[in-house]
Amino acid sequence: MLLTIDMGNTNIVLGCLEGERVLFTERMATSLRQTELEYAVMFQSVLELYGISPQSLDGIIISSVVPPLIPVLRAALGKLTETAVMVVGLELDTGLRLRMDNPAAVGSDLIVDAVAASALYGTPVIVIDMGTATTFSVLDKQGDYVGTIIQPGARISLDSLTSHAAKLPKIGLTVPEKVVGRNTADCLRSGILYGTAASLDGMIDRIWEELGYETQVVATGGLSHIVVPHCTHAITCDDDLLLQGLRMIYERNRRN
Amino acid sequence: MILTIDVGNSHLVLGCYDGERLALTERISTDTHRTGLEYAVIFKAVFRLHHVPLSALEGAVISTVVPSMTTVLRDALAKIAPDIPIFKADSSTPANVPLLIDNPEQAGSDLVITATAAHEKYGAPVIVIQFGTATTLSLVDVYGCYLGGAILPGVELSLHSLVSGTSQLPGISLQRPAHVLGTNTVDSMRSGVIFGNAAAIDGMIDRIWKERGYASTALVATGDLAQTVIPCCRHNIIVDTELPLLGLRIIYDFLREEDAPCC
Repeated sequence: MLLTIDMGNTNIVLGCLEGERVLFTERMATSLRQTELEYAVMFQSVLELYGISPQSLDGIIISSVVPPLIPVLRAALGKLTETAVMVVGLELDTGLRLRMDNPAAVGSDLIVDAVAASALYGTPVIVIDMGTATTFSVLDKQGDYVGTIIQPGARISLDSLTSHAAKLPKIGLTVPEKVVGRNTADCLRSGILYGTAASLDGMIDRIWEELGYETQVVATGGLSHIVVPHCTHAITCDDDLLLQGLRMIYERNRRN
Repeated sequence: MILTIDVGNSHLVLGCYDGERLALTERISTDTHRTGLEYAVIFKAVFRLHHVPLSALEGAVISTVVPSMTTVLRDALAKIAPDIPIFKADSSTPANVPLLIDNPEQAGSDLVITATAAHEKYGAPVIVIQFGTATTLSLVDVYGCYLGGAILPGVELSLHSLVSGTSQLPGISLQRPAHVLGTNTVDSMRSGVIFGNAAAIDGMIDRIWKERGYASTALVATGDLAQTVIPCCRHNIIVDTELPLLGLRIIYDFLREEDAPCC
């Protein structure tokens, strides 16, 4: 059994796989203040909830965009099991050719997304990951990783807007009836939902123009199911992309 | 000369009209901790900087989205120009375009005033895009009525929340990158913010046109970042940063003529 940990700036997503089959995925808040013990207790409880003993884990792989938490998580896992922990980084073989200025600076979540999308959907492909940031990872016809685009995520942008503007209310991300809102809450809903969808569509057009050809587009991350249905482009939603990418990287590197 | 003050959540923009001509315009941070005296000192310095005597002021008009700033600015103006009439422009000012929305009294006065100016200067129907703490799109229809619109998180605000909410992303200056596809973190963020916002505006315009059955409308943008983002849009959008102040001047003339009460 493989435990996958995808550590984002807002959430840590835990996944457990038996071969390619996903047994569970669970989400917890990323906190820089929690100690290794607190993370260990959390991980243990999640595993227990699904009746999985830590001893049955034969592999663990972590992808993190929060470097200071990597040693904390390693120590937490060390309290539960002796299984070695693999951390996604340049020293691992991902099979990807990164045509970037500084390959070491590419976020490991972007690499994992790209590995999974190229294996599951083929290239050329654009992967959109909607988390704290909305990221676009672009793989060209040759399967090379040729570029990244990073936008503020819809959720943090909305939260910062409602906390900074004196007269704007806090709203839930629901679908407004009209694009042209007639009250403040609907105007905000329209702006966030249709604005984000329009931004994805327009970025895809601009990427295609720069590449000189069209590609498949895959989206993942918490908000993708809410936003993607309002895009004009055909975009496939795949919640398990990161999880499967982590599995692929783990399997590729396990013998070394 | 007429002093126009447009108070936003982050900045207040001050303008001074000599007849139809905007003689000066300056941007000052909105700070609710500042007292009337402190703003009076800043205003006085602005006039000195532009060699405009305070005695040339005939009247003032204020619009604010921060309610507490009204009193502060009134105090400030009372110190530097005690005898001039001061009007408050808000969404209920009758000089504005008629508001066909759910709660007209809740409409952001900045949006309504800018829409009033856009309608006067560019005709109707028109979509006004305003860059500030929020990015807003407002629609004035064929009949010159304000129908509402959409509110998006502002360009700088959302960028700031991204930088402060993540561990590995640096603060960046907002400039157009050479390519859409970024090959380093800074260019990737620039592309996402500049092209992403341009794409959002283009797509919102398309969606508004489609919903209302318009083949096209006049398109005009205002606010500091309009000059950076609008050139990356596909639609042909006029950048006119004077719009909010022009709207205030139009409203001033109206209220003056009506002999409306001062605030």
